[in-house]
Amino acid sequence: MDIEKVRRLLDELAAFMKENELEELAVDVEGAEVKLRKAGKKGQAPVIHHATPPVHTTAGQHPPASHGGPEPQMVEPSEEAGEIVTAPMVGSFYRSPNPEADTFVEVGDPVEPDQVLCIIEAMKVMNEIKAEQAGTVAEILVEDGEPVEYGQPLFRLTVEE
Amino acid sequence: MSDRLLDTLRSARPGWLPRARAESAVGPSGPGLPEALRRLRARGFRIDESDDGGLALRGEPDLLDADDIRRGLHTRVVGRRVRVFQRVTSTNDVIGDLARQGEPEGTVVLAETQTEGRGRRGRGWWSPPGKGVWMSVLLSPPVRRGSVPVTTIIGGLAVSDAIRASTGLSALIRWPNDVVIGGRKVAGVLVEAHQRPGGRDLLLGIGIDVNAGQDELPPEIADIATSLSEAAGEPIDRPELVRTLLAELDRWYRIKLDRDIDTINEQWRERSATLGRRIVLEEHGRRFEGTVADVDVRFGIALRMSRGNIRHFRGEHISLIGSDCDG
Repeated sequence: MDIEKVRRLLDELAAFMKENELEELAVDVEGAEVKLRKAGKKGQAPVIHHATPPVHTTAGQHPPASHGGPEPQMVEPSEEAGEIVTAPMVGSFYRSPNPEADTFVEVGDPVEPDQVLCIIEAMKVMNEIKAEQAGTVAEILVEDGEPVEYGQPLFRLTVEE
Repeated sequence: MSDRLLDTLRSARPGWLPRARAESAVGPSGPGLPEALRRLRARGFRIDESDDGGLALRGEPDLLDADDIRRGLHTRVVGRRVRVFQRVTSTNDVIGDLARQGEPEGTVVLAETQTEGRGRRGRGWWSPPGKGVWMSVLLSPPVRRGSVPVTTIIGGLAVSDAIRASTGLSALIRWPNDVVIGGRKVAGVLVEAHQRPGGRDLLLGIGIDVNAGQDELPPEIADIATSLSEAAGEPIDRPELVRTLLAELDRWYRIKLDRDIDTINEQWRERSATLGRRIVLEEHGRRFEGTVADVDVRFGIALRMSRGNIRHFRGEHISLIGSDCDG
Protein backbone atom coordinates (compact mmCIF):
# COMPACT_ATOMS: atom_id res chain seq x y z
CA MET A 1 0.00 0.00 0.00
CA ASP A 2 1.54 3.30 -0.97
CA ILE A 3 1.58 6.37 1.25
CA GLU A 4 -1.16 8.09 -0.72
CA LYS A 5 -3.44 5.11 -0.25
CA VAL A 6 -2.69 5.01 3.45
CA ARG A 7 -3.46 8.69 3.77
CA ARG A 8 -6.72 8.27 1.91
CA LEU A 9 -7.65 5.28 4.05
CA LEU A 10 -6.93 7.23 7.22
CA ASP A 11 -9.03 10.14 6.02
CA GLU A 12 -11.90 7.86 5.27
CA LEU A 13 -11.59 6.04 8.57
CA ALA A 14 -11.55 9.35 10.42
CA ALA A 15 -14.72 10.44 8.64
CA PHE A 16 -16.30 7.08 9.31
CA MET A 17 -15.47 7.28 13.03
CA LYS A 18 -16.87 10.76 13.27
CA GLU A 19 -20.02 9.84 11.47
CA ASN A 20 -20.61 6.83 13.68
CA GLU A 21 -19.43 8.51 16.89
CA LEU A 22 -16.65 6.04 17.43
CA GLU A 23 -13.74 6.64 19.74
CA GLU A 24 -11.82 3.50 19.03
CA LEU A 25 -11.24 1.62 15.85
CA ALA A 26 -8.76 -1.11 15.00
CA VAL A 27 -8.22 -2.41 11.50
CA ASP A 28 -6.20 -5.41 10.44
CA VAL A 29 -6.46 -5.47 6.68
CA GLU A 30 -4.69 -8.75 5.99
CA GLY A 31 -6.61 -10.62 8.64
CA ALA A 32 -9.74 -8.64 7.68
CA GLU A 33 -10.34 -7.81 11.33
CA VAL A 34 -12.07 -4.61 12.38
CA LYS A 35 -12.80 -3.56 15.92
CA LEU A 36 -15.00 -0.59 16.70
CA ARG A 37 -16.06 0.97 19.95
CA LYS A 38 -18.84 3.46 20.35
CA ALA A 39 -18.17 6.60 22.36
CA GLY A 40 -19.34 6.51 25.96
CA LYS A 41 -19.65 2.75 26.10
CA LYS A 42 -16.43 2.02 27.97
CA GLY A 43 -16.47 -1.03 30.10
CA GLN A 44 -18.94 -2.74 27.86
CA ALA A 45 -17.91 -5.41 25.49
CA PRO A 46 -16.58 -3.81 22.35
CA VAL A 47 -18.60 -4.03 19.21
CA ILE A 48 -16.70 -6.55 17.23
CA HIS A 49 -16.77 -7.52 13.60
CA HIS A 50 -14.37 -10.26 12.96
CA ALA A 51 -13.84 -13.51 11.18
CA THR A 52 -15.21 -16.09 13.55
CA PRO A 53 -15.22 -19.74 12.62
CA PRO A 54 -18.74 -21.16 12.23
CA VAL A 55 -18.78 -22.45 15.75
CA HIS A 56 -21.72 -24.27 17.17
CA THR A 57 -21.59 -23.01 20.70
CA THR A 58 -23.66 -24.13 23.60
CA ALA A 59 -26.43 -21.88 24.82
CA GLY A 60 -25.20 -19.33 27.31
CA GLN A 61 -21.64 -19.63 26.09
CA HIS A 62 -21.96 -17.87 22.79
CA PRO A 63 -19.59 -14.98 22.33
CA PRO A 64 -20.84 -11.44 22.80
CA ALA A 65 -21.11 -11.22 19.07
CA SER A 66 -22.66 -7.98 18.07
CA HIS A 67 -23.08 -5.73 15.12
CA GLY A 68 -22.15 -2.31 13.99
CA GLY A 69 -24.70 0.44 13.75
CA PRO A 70 -28.21 0.49 15.04
CA GLU A 71 -29.82 -1.21 12.07
CA PRO A 72 -30.12 -4.94 12.54
CA GLN A 73 -31.97 -6.21 15.52
CA MET A 74 -30.35 -9.24 17.05
CA VAL A 75 -32.41 -11.62 19.07
CA GLU A 76 -30.51 -13.20 21.91
CA PRO A 77 -31.25 -16.87 22.33
CA SER A 78 -32.98 -17.73 25.55
CA GLU A 79 -30.80 -19.21 28.25
CA GLU A 80 -32.09 -22.68 27.75
CA ALA A 81 -30.24 -25.84 26.94
CA GLY A 82 -29.51 -26.66 23.36
CA GLU A 83 -27.12 -26.10 20.56
CA ILE A 84 -26.81 -22.68 19.02
CA VAL A 85 -26.19 -22.60 15.31
CA THR A 86 -24.29 -19.43 14.46
CA ALA A 87 -23.62 -17.63 11.21
CA PRO A 88 -20.32 -18.75 9.63
CA MET A 89 -20.22 -15.59 7.52
CA VAL A 90 -21.59 -12.13 7.02
CA GLY A 91 -24.58 -11.87 4.77
CA SER A 92 -28.34 -11.92 4.41
CA PHE A 93 -30.34 -14.65 6.17
CA TYR A 94 -33.00 -16.51 4.20
CA ARG A 95 -35.32 -19.15 5.58
CA SER A 96 -36.39 -20.54 2.20
CA PRO A 97 -34.63 -21.31 -1.10
CA ASN A 98 -36.69 -18.59 -2.76
CA PRO A 99 -39.53 -16.27 -1.75
CA GLU A 100 -42.23 -18.59 -3.12
CA ALA A 101 -40.86 -21.78 -1.59
CA ASP A 102 -41.57 -23.31 1.81
CA THR A 103 -39.20 -22.53 4.65
CA PHE A 104 -36.43 -25.01 5.28
CA VAL A 105 -37.46 -25.47 8.93
CA GLU A 106 -40.00 -24.18 11.43
CA VAL A 107 -39.92 -24.19 15.22
CA GLY A 108 -40.74 -27.70 16.41
CA ASP A 109 -39.37 -29.43 13.32
CA PRO A 110 -36.99 -32.31 13.88
CA VAL A 111 -33.73 -31.95 11.98
CA GLU A 112 -31.17 -34.47 10.87
CA PRO A 113 -27.44 -33.94 10.55
CA ASP A 114 -26.67 -32.21 7.23
CA GLN A 115 -30.22 -30.96 6.88
CA VAL A 116 -30.33 -27.45 5.42
CA LEU A 117 -31.58 -24.89 7.96
CA CYS A 118 -31.22 -21.66 6.02
CA ILE A 119 -29.29 -19.81 3.34
CA ILE A 120 -26.91 -16.94 3.94
CA GLU A 121 -26.26 -14.83 0.87
CA ALA A 122 -22.99 -12.96 0.64
CA MET A 123 -22.00 -11.20 -2.59
CA LYS A 124 -24.48 -13.39 -4.51
CA VAL A 125 -23.02 -16.58 -3.09
CA MET A 126 -25.89 -18.59 -1.64
CA ASN A 127 -24.48 -20.54 1.30
CA GLU A 128 -26.53 -23.40 2.65
CA ILE A 129 -26.21 -23.67 6.41
CA LYS A 130 -26.75 -27.19 7.72
CA ALA A 131 -27.40 -28.80 11.07
CA GLU A 132 -24.40 -30.59 12.49
CA GLN A 133 -26.39 -32.97 14.65
CA ALA A 134 -29.90 -34.26 15.04
CA GLY A 135 -32.28 -32.27 17.19
CA THR A 136 -35.39 -30.16 17.18
CA VAL A 137 -35.67 -26.51 16.18
CA ALA A 138 -36.42 -24.69 19.42
CA GLU A 139 -35.92 -21.08 18.35
CA ILE A 140 -35.31 -19.19 15.14
CA LEU A 141 -33.38 -16.09 16.12
CA VAL A 142 -33.29 -14.07 12.89
CA GLU A 143 -36.05 -12.81 10.64
CA ASP A 144 -36.14 -13.82 7.00
CA GLY A 145 -34.12 -11.42 4.86
CA GLU A 146 -32.27 -9.84 7.78
CA PRO A 147 -28.53 -9.15 7.69
CA VAL A 148 -26.40 -11.33 9.93
CA GLU A 149 -22.88 -10.98 11.27
CA TYR A 150 -20.12 -13.50 11.83
CA GLY A 151 -20.92 -15.70 14.77
CA GLN A 152 -24.43 -14.35 15.20
CA PRO A 153 -26.81 -16.94 16.70
CA LEU A 154 -29.32 -18.12 14.08
CA PHE A 155 -31.08 -21.14 15.57
CA ARG A 156 -31.35 -22.89 18.90
CA LEU A 157 -31.73 -26.63 18.55
CA THR A 158 -32.67 -28.90 21.41
CA VAL A 159 -30.50 -31.94 21.21
CA GLU A 160 -31.25 -35.28 22.76
CA GLU A 161 -28.50 -36.30 25.11
CA MET B 1 -10.85 -40.46 -35.64
CA SER B 2 -13.47 -37.97 -36.77
CA ASP B 3 -11.75 -35.37 -34.55
CA ARG B 4 -8.46 -35.58 -36.46
CA LEU B 5 -10.41 -35.30 -39.66
CA LEU B 6 -12.20 -32.28 -38.27
CA ASP B 7 -8.90 -30.59 -37.39
CA THR B 8 -7.63 -31.22 -40.91
CA LEU B 9 -10.83 -29.95 -42.48
CA ARG B 10 -10.66 -26.81 -40.38
CA SER B 11 -7.03 -26.18 -41.32
CA ALA B 12 -7.96 -26.36 -45.01
CA ARG B 13 -10.71 -23.76 -44.68
CA PRO B 14 -11.90 -21.96 -46.71
CA GLY B 15 -10.42 -24.10 -49.45
CA TRP B 16 -10.83 -27.73 -50.46
CA LEU B 17 -9.08 -30.58 -48.69
CA PRO B 18 -7.73 -33.21 -51.12
CA ARG B 19 -9.29 -36.59 -50.46
CA ALA B 20 -5.90 -38.23 -49.92
CA ARG B 21 -5.16 -35.93 -47.00
CA ALA B 22 -8.57 -36.65 -45.54
CA GLU B 23 -7.89 -40.36 -45.86
CA SER B 24 -4.57 -40.05 -44.07
CA ALA B 25 -6.13 -37.96 -41.30
CA VAL B 26 -8.62 -40.73 -40.66
CA GLY B 27 -5.89 -43.37 -40.82
CA PRO B 28 -5.87 -46.90 -42.14
CA SER B 29 -7.40 -48.55 -39.07
CA GLY B 30 -10.99 -48.09 -38.04
CA PRO B 31 -14.18 -47.62 -39.98
CA GLY B 32 -12.75 -45.32 -42.65
CA LEU B 33 -13.41 -41.94 -44.19
CA PRO B 34 -17.09 -42.34 -45.21
CA GLU B 35 -18.01 -43.32 -41.66
CA ALA B 36 -15.98 -40.43 -40.19
CA LEU B 37 -17.77 -38.01 -42.51
CA ARG B 38 -21.13 -39.51 -41.58
CA ARG B 39 -20.39 -38.96 -37.89
CA LEU B 40 -19.31 -35.37 -38.38
CA ARG B 41 -22.42 -34.63 -40.40
CA ALA B 42 -24.54 -36.28 -37.75
CA ARG B 43 -23.03 -33.81 -35.28
CA GLY B 44 -24.14 -30.94 -37.48
CA PHE B 45 -21.01 -30.14 -39.51
CA ARG B 46 -21.75 -29.24 -43.11
CA ILE B 47 -19.14 -30.78 -45.41
CA ASP B 48 -19.22 -30.45 -49.19
CA GLU B 49 -17.71 -33.02 -51.53
CA SER B 50 -16.39 -32.07 -54.97
CA ASP B 51 -16.55 -34.27 -58.06
CA ASP B 52 -12.96 -35.37 -57.53
CA GLY B 53 -13.61 -36.30 -53.89
CA GLY B 54 -12.21 -33.15 -52.30
CA LEU B 55 -13.80 -32.03 -49.06
CA ALA B 56 -14.64 -28.60 -47.70
CA LEU B 57 -15.97 -27.66 -44.29
CA ARG B 58 -18.79 -25.19 -44.91
CA GLY B 59 -20.48 -24.91 -41.58
CA GLU B 60 -19.96 -25.74 -37.95
CA PRO B 61 -22.92 -26.86 -35.89
CA ASP B 62 -24.37 -24.33 -33.57
CA LEU B 63 -24.98 -27.13 -31.12
CA LEU B 64 -22.68 -27.46 -28.16
CA ASP B 65 -20.64 -30.63 -28.31
CA ALA B 66 -18.68 -31.88 -25.32
CA ASP B 67 -15.86 -33.44 -27.35
CA ASP B 68 -15.54 -30.40 -29.54
CA ILE B 69 -15.41 -28.06 -26.56
CA ARG B 70 -12.85 -30.11 -24.71
CA ARG B 71 -10.53 -30.44 -27.66
CA GLY B 72 -7.94 -27.72 -27.67
CA LEU B 73 -8.75 -26.85 -24.06
CA HIS B 74 -5.62 -26.66 -21.92
CA THR B 75 -7.07 -25.96 -18.52
CA ARG B 76 -5.91 -27.34 -15.21
CA VAL B 77 -9.18 -27.64 -13.34
CA VAL B 78 -12.15 -26.12 -15.16
CA GLY B 79 -13.44 -28.39 -17.91
CA ARG B 80 -11.70 -31.60 -16.91
CA ARG B 81 -15.05 -33.09 -17.78
CA VAL B 82 -17.63 -31.43 -19.98
CA ARG B 83 -21.21 -32.70 -20.11
CA VAL B 84 -23.74 -31.26 -22.51
CA PHE B 85 -27.48 -31.77 -22.07
CA GLN B 86 -30.26 -30.77 -24.43
CA ARG B 87 -32.74 -29.76 -21.76
CA VAL B 88 -32.45 -29.57 -17.99
CA THR B 89 -34.34 -27.84 -15.19
CA SER B 90 -31.25 -25.86 -14.36
CA THR B 91 -27.57 -26.61 -14.86
CA ASN B 92 -26.98 -25.85 -11.18
CA ASP B 93 -29.49 -28.61 -10.30
CA VAL B 94 -27.58 -31.07 -12.48
CA ILE B 95 -24.15 -30.16 -11.15
CA GLY B 96 -25.49 -30.26 -7.58
CA ASP B 97 -26.74 -33.80 -8.13
CA LEU B 98 -23.41 -34.78 -9.68
CA ALA B 99 -21.54 -33.25 -6.73
CA ARG B 100 -23.59 -35.31 -4.28
CA GLN B 101 -22.60 -38.41 -6.23
CA GLY B 102 -18.92 -37.57 -5.85
CA GLU B 103 -18.21 -35.78 -9.12
CA PRO B 104 -14.69 -34.32 -9.07
CA GLU B 105 -13.92 -30.62 -9.10
CA GLY B 106 -13.81 -28.93 -12.49
CA THR B 107 -16.75 -30.64 -14.18
CA VAL B 108 -18.75 -28.37 -16.46
CA VAL B 109 -22.41 -28.87 -17.26
CA LEU B 110 -23.90 -27.10 -20.28
CA ALA B 111 -27.47 -27.22 -21.52
CA GLU B 112 -29.05 -26.05 -24.75
CA THR B 113 -32.02 -24.92 -22.72
CA GLN B 114 -33.15 -24.69 -19.10
CA THR B 115 -36.78 -25.10 -18.15
CA GLU B 116 -36.27 -23.62 -14.70
CA GLY B 117 -33.16 -21.50 -15.10
CA ARG B 118 -32.81 -19.29 -12.07
CA GLY B 119 -31.28 -16.07 -10.95
CA ARG B 120 -30.99 -14.72 -7.46
CA ARG B 121 -33.67 -15.58 -4.87
CA GLY B 122 -35.89 -17.58 -7.15
CA ARG B 123 -36.00 -15.11 -9.99
CA GLY B 124 -36.27 -16.90 -13.29
CA TRP B 125 -33.53 -16.88 -15.88
CA TRP B 126 -34.66 -16.87 -19.49
CA SER B 127 -32.76 -19.68 -21.24
CA PRO B 128 -34.06 -20.18 -24.80
CA PRO B 129 -32.82 -23.24 -26.73
CA GLY B 130 -29.57 -22.79 -28.60
CA LYS B 131 -29.33 -19.07 -27.99
CA GLY B 132 -27.08 -18.82 -25.00
CA VAL B 133 -24.47 -20.31 -22.76
CA TRP B 134 -26.28 -21.88 -19.80
CA MET B 135 -23.55 -23.43 -17.73
CA SER B 136 -22.47 -24.56 -14.29
CA VAL B 137 -19.03 -25.43 -12.99
CA LEU B 138 -18.24 -27.48 -9.90
CA LEU B 139 -15.46 -25.98 -7.78
CA SER B 140 -14.24 -27.23 -4.42
CA PRO B 141 -11.65 -24.76 -3.16
CA PRO B 142 -10.23 -25.28 0.32
CA VAL B 143 -12.48 -23.67 2.90
CA ARG B 144 -10.97 -20.59 4.49
CA ARG B 145 -13.02 -19.19 7.31
CA GLY B 146 -13.93 -15.56 6.98
CA SER B 147 -12.39 -15.18 3.55
CA VAL B 148 -13.97 -12.79 1.09
CA PRO B 149 -16.50 -14.50 -1.18
CA VAL B 150 -14.81 -13.89 -4.53
CA THR B 151 -16.21 -16.78 -6.55
CA THR B 152 -18.96 -14.66 -8.06
CA ILE B 153 -16.39 -11.92 -8.71
CA ILE B 154 -14.04 -14.20 -10.65
CA GLY B 155 -17.07 -15.57 -12.51
CA GLY B 156 -17.91 -12.05 -13.68
CA LEU B 157 -14.29 -11.33 -14.58
CA ALA B 158 -13.97 -14.55 -16.60
CA VAL B 159 -17.19 -13.80 -18.50
CA SER B 160 -16.00 -10.27 -19.23
CA ASP B 161 -12.62 -11.55 -20.46
CA ALA B 162 -14.17 -14.27 -22.60
CA ILE B 163 -16.59 -11.84 -24.25
CA ARG B 164 -13.75 -9.46 -24.99
CA ALA B 165 -11.55 -12.22 -26.43
CA SER B 166 -14.31 -13.82 -28.53
CA THR B 167 -16.11 -10.74 -29.80
CA GLY B 168 -13.92 -7.72 -29.13
CA LEU B 169 -16.80 -6.17 -27.19
CA SER B 170 -16.03 -4.30 -24.01
CA ALA B 171 -18.06 -5.95 -21.28
CA LEU B 172 -18.11 -4.19 -17.93
CA ILE B 173 -19.13 -5.48 -14.52
CA ARG B 174 -22.01 -3.95 -12.64
CA TRP B 175 -21.60 -4.42 -8.93
CA PRO B 176 -21.09 -7.07 -7.89
CA ASN B 177 -21.16 -9.43 -10.86
CA ASP B 178 -23.63 -8.63 -13.63
CA VAL B 179 -21.89 -8.33 -16.97
CA VAL B 180 -23.16 -5.40 -19.04
CA ILE B 181 -22.52 -4.02 -22.50
CA GLY B 182 -23.65 -0.49 -23.16
CA GLY B 183 -25.53 -0.51 -19.88
CA ARG B 184 -27.56 -3.60 -20.74
CA LYS B 185 -27.11 -6.90 -18.99
CA VAL B 186 -25.76 -9.74 -21.14
CA ALA B 187 -24.72 -12.21 -18.46
CA GLY B 188 -25.27 -13.12 -14.85
CA VAL B 189 -23.39 -15.19 -12.30
CA LEU B 190 -24.87 -17.05 -9.36
CA VAL B 191 -23.06 -19.28 -6.89
CA GLU B 192 -24.61 -21.85 -4.59
CA ALA B 193 -22.41 -23.22 -1.82
CA HIS B 194 -23.16 -26.68 -0.48
CA GLN B 195 -21.47 -28.02 2.60
CA ARG B 196 -20.44 -31.62 2.50
CA PRO B 197 -18.38 -33.79 4.86
CA GLY B 198 -14.81 -32.55 4.72
CA GLY B 199 -15.43 -29.49 2.62
CA ARG B 200 -17.70 -27.44 0.51
CA ASP B 201 -18.83 -27.46 -3.10
CA LEU B 202 -19.35 -24.26 -5.01
CA LEU B 203 -21.79 -24.49 -7.88
CA LEU B 204 -20.82 -21.61 -10.15
CA GLY B 205 -23.69 -20.87 -12.50
CA ILE B 206 -23.26 -18.62 -15.53
CA GLY B 207 -25.83 -17.48 -18.03
CA ILE B 208 -24.87 -15.51 -21.15
CA ASP B 209 -27.38 -14.25 -23.71
CA VAL B 210 -25.48 -14.97 -26.91
CA ASN B 211 -27.52 -15.15 -30.09
CA ALA B 212 -31.03 -14.07 -29.17
CA GLY B 213 -32.45 -11.19 -31.18
CA GLN B 214 -33.49 -8.08 -29.27
CA ASP B 215 -37.09 -8.70 -30.40
CA GLU B 216 -36.97 -12.20 -28.92
CA LEU B 217 -36.26 -10.99 -25.39
CA PRO B 218 -39.16 -11.33 -22.95
CA PRO B 219 -40.84 -7.94 -22.33
CA GLU B 220 -39.76 -7.80 -18.68
CA ILE B 221 -36.08 -7.72 -19.64
CA ALA B 222 -36.25 -6.21 -23.12
CA ASP B 223 -35.31 -2.73 -21.87
CA ILE B 224 -32.50 -3.79 -19.56
CA ALA B 225 -30.88 -6.71 -21.34
CA THR B 226 -29.32 -7.52 -24.68
CA SER B 227 -27.36 -10.32 -26.32
CA LEU B 228 -23.82 -10.55 -27.63
CA SER B 229 -25.02 -10.90 -31.23
CA GLU B 230 -27.12 -7.75 -30.91
CA ALA B 231 -24.18 -5.86 -29.43
CA ALA B 232 -21.70 -7.21 -32.00
CA GLY B 233 -24.04 -6.98 -35.00
CA GLU B 234 -23.29 -10.56 -36.04
CA PRO B 235 -23.89 -14.11 -34.81
CA ILE B 236 -21.45 -15.37 -32.20
CA ASP B 237 -19.74 -18.78 -32.33
CA ARG B 238 -21.02 -20.35 -29.10
CA PRO B 239 -18.58 -23.32 -28.89
CA GLU B 240 -15.67 -20.92 -29.31
CA LEU B 241 -17.09 -18.62 -26.65
CA VAL B 242 -17.50 -21.56 -24.25
CA ARG B 243 -13.92 -22.72 -24.81
CA THR B 244 -12.61 -19.23 -24.16
CA LEU B 245 -14.80 -18.90 -21.08
CA LEU B 246 -13.54 -22.18 -19.60
CA ALA B 247 -9.95 -21.09 -20.17
CA GLU B 248 -10.61 -17.72 -18.50
CA LEU B 249 -12.43 -19.34 -15.59
CA ASP B 250 -9.53 -21.70 -15.08
CA ARG B 251 -7.08 -18.80 -15.08
CA TRP B 252 -9.13 -16.75 -12.62
CA TYR B 253 -9.72 -19.77 -10.39
CA ARG B 254 -5.95 -20.22 -10.21
CA ILE B 255 -5.61 -16.58 -9.17
CA LYS B 256 -8.22 -17.13 -6.47
CA LEU B 257 -6.44 -20.25 -5.19
CA ASP B 258 -3.21 -18.24 -5.08
CA ARG B 259 -5.12 -15.75 -2.90
CA ASP B 260 -4.08 -12.95 -5.19
CA ILE B 261 -6.91 -10.72 -4.06
CA ASP B 262 -5.09 -7.60 -5.27
CA THR B 263 -5.17 -8.75 -8.88
CA ILE B 264 -8.83 -9.70 -8.59
CA ASN B 265 -9.63 -6.39 -6.98
CA GLU B 266 -7.70 -4.29 -9.50
CA GLN B 267 -9.23 -5.98 -12.52
CA TRP B 268 -12.69 -5.83 -11.02
CA ARG B 269 -12.33 -2.14 -10.28
CA GLU B 270 -10.87 -1.45 -13.73
CA ARG B 271 -13.90 -3.02 -15.38
CA SER B 272 -16.47 -1.65 -12.99
CA ALA B 273 -19.59 -0.18 -14.56
CA THR B 274 -20.46 1.15 -11.12
CA LEU B 275 -17.37 3.15 -10.17
CA GLY B 276 -17.94 6.87 -10.55
CA ARG B 277 -21.69 6.45 -11.07
CA ARG B 278 -24.42 8.04 -9.08
CA ILE B 279 -26.32 5.19 -7.46
CA VAL B 280 -28.97 4.34 -4.93
CA LEU B 281 -28.22 1.41 -2.70
CA GLU B 282 -30.07 -0.25 0.09
CA GLU B 283 -28.55 -1.38 3.36
CA HIS B 284 -30.64 -2.91 6.13
CA GLY B 285 -33.78 -1.51 4.53
CA ARG B 286 -32.45 2.06 4.31
CA ARG B 287 -31.67 3.74 1.04
CA PHE B 288 -28.62 5.86 0.38
CA GLU B 289 -27.80 7.93 -2.68
CA GLY B 290 -24.38 9.07 -3.70
CA THR B 291 -21.54 8.83 -6.17
CA VAL B 292 -19.43 5.70 -6.08
CA ALA B 293 -15.93 6.80 -5.01
CA ASP B 294 -14.52 3.29 -4.82
CA VAL B 295 -15.45 -0.35 -5.18
CA ASP B 296 -13.44 -2.96 -3.36
CA VAL B 297 -13.95 -6.71 -3.16
CA ARG B 298 -12.95 -6.64 0.51
CA PHE B 299 -14.44 -3.40 1.76
CA GLY B 300 -17.51 -2.96 -0.41
CA ILE B 301 -18.64 0.36 -1.83
CA ALA B 302 -17.41 3.80 -0.79
CA LEU B 303 -20.14 6.32 -1.53
CA ARG B 304 -19.59 10.07 -1.67
CA MET B 305 -22.68 11.49 -0.03
CA SER B 306 -24.31 14.81 -0.84
CA ARG B 307 -22.49 16.51 2.05
CA GLY B 308 -19.21 15.44 0.50
CA ASN B 309 -18.34 12.88 3.12
CA ILE B 310 -17.49 9.30 2.23
CA ARG B 311 -19.60 6.54 3.63
CA HIS B 312 -18.64 2.88 3.45
CA PHE B 313 -21.02 0.03 2.82
CA ARG B 314 -20.00 -3.57 3.24
CA GLY B 315 -20.64 -5.61 0.15
CA GLU B 316 -22.39 -8.45 1.91
CA HIS B 317 -25.18 -6.26 3.22
CA ILE B 318 -26.15 -4.01 0.37
CA SER B 319 -28.13 -4.24 -2.80
CA LEU B 320 -27.97 -1.86 -5.69
CA ILE B 321 -31.32 -0.23 -6.38
CA GLY B 322 -30.53 2.06 -9.24
CA SER B 323 -27.87 3.87 -11.18
CA ASP B 324 -27.87 6.99 -13.32
CA CYS B 325 -26.50 5.12 -16.30
CA ASP B 326 -23.84 2.56 -16.71
CA GLY B 327 -21.88 0.51 -19.14
